Amino acid sequence: MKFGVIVFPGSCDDVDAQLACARVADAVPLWHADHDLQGVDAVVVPGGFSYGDYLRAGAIARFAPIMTEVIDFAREGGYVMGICNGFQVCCEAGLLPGALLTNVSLRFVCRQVSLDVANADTPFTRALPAGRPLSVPVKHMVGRYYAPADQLDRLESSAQVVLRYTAGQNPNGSLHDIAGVINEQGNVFGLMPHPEHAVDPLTGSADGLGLFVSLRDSVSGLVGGGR
Amino acid sequence: MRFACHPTPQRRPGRSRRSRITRAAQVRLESVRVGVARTAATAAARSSIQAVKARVLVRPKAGILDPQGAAAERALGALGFAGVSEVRIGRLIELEVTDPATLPEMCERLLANPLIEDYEVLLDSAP
Repeated sequence: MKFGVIVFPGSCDDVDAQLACARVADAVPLWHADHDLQGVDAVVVPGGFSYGDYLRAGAIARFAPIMTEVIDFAREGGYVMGICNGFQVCCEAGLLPGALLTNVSLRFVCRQVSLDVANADTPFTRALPAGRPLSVPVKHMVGRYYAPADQLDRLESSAQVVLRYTAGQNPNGSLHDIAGVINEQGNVFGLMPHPEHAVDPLTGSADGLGLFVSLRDSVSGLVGGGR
Repeated sequence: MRFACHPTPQRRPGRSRRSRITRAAQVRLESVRVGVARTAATAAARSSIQAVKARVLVRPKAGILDPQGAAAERALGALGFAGVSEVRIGRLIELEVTDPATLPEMCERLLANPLIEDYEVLLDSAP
């Protein structure tokens, strides 16, 4: 099982994402200007400020050469996890519903938050401990999840809201306290919090590791189960 | 649905084969029209395919909370300006284009996110 972590100009969480992936499987960097996914089994679009976040966060990165391959990969059912800026990129690319707007506070927030797992039956959350919130950091300026009312209703009714900020901890004004959503097909997942920064008790929490374990097991199940 | 606003890119905007061909065709057309005219005439002909100045106004869609607008509104009130409301902050993009017909596609695909933003294209009518 091999993870690929995209590296855009301006990515800054790609190294931590690779280290997190490497704790559970193999991990390789994927250069933004390449058209080669190197045969990876899952793609992580990492956090940072790709292309300076010029115009809108993720708007330019979404057209990077590697994203053409990632979009094809996702359309064919490949697993993609977008973290923070990667979430913004996936929304801009149309891989995930909705958009991320500037925090209501107009401030960059950087703190540990508590997350409720709203859907534990996804390829990204199956290995998480049941019935316990996750402690994972957020650090962003543009993290307010928004979707039009009708789309939001569909997301809720089809259990596409996967992670929510625990009541009272919403750091950015996201609608319905949404911290992470999954696409309709269930193979593309985006979240604003940073699980890759919470994989070792040394930094206060290892709750983020469960997402990477889930993804590895989902891919392994797919391969081992012969589909 | 809304995703249709973000079609899979074949190429980067502004570098599409179509726009290159269009520009090449225009140049060819100009050179045919000018024929063997002297340099000054060629320069004049080139000016006829000059880029048009355009402005694209991008606004947060109605109903979307705009905290920047709200902050500016409060600040105006604090300065003593009474009766200010509905302050919304968007973006102004100035550009020059040889084919203004491509502007809506530029807006849909890159300059605005149609899910959260409205856009308006204004062409500079000056010759």
